[in-house]
Amino acid sequence: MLQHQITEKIKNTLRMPARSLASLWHYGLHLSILVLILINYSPSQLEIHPVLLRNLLSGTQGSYKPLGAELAPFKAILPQKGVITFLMDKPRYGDKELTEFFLSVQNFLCPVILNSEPVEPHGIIYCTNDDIANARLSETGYQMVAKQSAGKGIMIRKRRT
Amino acid sequence: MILLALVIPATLGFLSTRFLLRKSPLPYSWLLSSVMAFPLGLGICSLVLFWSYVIANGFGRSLTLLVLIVLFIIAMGLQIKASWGRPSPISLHPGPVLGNIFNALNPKTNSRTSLFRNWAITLAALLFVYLFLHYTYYFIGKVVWNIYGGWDARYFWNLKAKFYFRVPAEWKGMFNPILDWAHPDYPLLLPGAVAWGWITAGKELLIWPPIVDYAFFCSLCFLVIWYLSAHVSWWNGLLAGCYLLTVHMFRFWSTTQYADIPLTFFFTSAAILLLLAIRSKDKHLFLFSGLLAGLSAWTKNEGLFFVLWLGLTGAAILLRSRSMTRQEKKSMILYFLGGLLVPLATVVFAKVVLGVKGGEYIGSGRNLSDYIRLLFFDAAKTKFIALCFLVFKSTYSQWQGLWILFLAGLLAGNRDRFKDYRWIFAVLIAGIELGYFVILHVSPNDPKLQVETSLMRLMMHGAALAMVFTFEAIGPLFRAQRKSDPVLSPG
Repeated sequence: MLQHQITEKIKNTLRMPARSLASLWHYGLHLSILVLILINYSPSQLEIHPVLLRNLLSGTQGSYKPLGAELAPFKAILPQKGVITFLMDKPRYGDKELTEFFLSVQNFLCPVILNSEPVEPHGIIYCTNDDIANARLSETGYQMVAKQSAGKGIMIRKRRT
Repeated sequence: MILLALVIPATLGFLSTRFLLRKSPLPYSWLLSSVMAFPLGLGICSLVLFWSYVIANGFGRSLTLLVLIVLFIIAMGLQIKASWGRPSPISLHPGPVLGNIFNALNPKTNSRTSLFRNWAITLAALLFVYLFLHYTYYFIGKVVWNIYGGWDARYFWNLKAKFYFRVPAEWKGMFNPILDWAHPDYPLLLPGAVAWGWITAGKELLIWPPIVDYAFFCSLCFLVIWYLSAHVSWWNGLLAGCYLLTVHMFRFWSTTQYADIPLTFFFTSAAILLLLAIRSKDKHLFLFSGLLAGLSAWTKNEGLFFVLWLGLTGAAILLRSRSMTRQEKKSMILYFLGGLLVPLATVVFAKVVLGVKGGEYIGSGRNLSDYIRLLFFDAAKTKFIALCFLVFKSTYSQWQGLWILFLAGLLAGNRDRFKDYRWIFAVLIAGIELGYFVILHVSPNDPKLQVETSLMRLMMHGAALAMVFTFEAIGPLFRAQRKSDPVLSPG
């Protein structure tokens, strides 16, 4: 009996530090998460622009320029469907800026689908100036049929002779 | 009209959840129904929209509106019928958190322990409210300056919504393989949700995609709070909510209009409901979990992997269970599959019938031996991907120590952390991560580019689940005595 009591006492004594350690770990975790939250909190650096916010809330485009809006003059004369070729100063692959512009134009002209390969019967040429546009037209086998501004216009594929 | 775009999905989602939970006595089910309202409602809208376009093509818009208004009326009618003659379920009781605040301010509260507990929960609730308002300010600031969202949102998710909205008869253009960057075989929950708002408003409202984003993020945040508050303690729930609001990855990606936050929501909710379904052996919860898992597959391709993992985990548990009859097990599996059916069939239809060419996996022209070679015979690639996983997970500036806490919870958390099927969360997280490990091997894109552009974002899909597991594994603090749930011991 006495031996059993002593064994139990020893066991309890051994268990106590383990329990205290577990409690310490438990409370420590909660506390460290609280500290993490307070450390991570930082005030927002971005100001909310009141005019832009008003535009958004009123449901108007306002000061926001639609993606690819540079192509607005073309939209009126293009059909509402189909696939067209879209040529720029150079092939866009590997050039992030040209790719972004191409995708923005796709966004603007949707549901018309843009192909950056010179394979469709007609399309848009959108270059910086006439010289680059002429060079691109001759290397891809197209001809300008309706010029919109310098280096830009509607093109069709040349007939093969 | 934007009000209608909000009210119809929110009501449909809320009432569908009430209907699915009508026989499931979950704690604070009103909070769960509110959490589910928008994500589930937008998921339903997106599915209805897709099938309306498939059936009616050019008249898809009108059919969508008609079907959703009819569904809305039916749901309202069923709700009125169900509550006719019954006492109102809305109670004047202040609720658990408000109750704690009242008690903390009440000088007559006797017990010193409960007073301390009430004060702690009150402070946690106030901290959460403050951080939530702060997050909202941050969100508006980000959105106002970057209304078109990130790259994928501009040129992929919202572009597809434009195909739905602009000329309905030409909507199938979104599956054209010539269309650059638009992944023709991709699921369409998010484009459908965006197009739904535009169709209802009658124009491409710039503010609608951010509203969808915000709704999904808030739902995710309150889902975590609901689960932990209902099954661990209000302190743990509110602390997790506060923590989630300060983790940079969640904050940043919730403003970009990407599909990753919606996917995180569906992963987390489907896993939580599977756990609760298995614990309670409630077939309606299996149905609900299946539905949410199906919606995850309708959100992103990654959801298909998740469906597989979730299904296998659930099936393995059911098959090993000795407390259920064979008939019960069969019925639960059928309910889970029933929930999955519509969203998963929609994904399969979109992939097999519409987006058949130019997909990254289906229609890519690669065969099984190509995949095996990519997966098992490129040691340098495997080493690179494994190192990236390790480095990215431990990046403090992005995760604020979340994955380290998860590891601490996993290895040295509460002694009951794997009891009552809590291990499901850890297994699912492992499954999700393993899935991405595999995808990075077999992806047709350059692995460096893939890692740079998407790995960190992919890790977010299991992060909310990791947070739930961690906050359960660290054990409850300031828990009120309640008999209903499986209880975690504090140490």
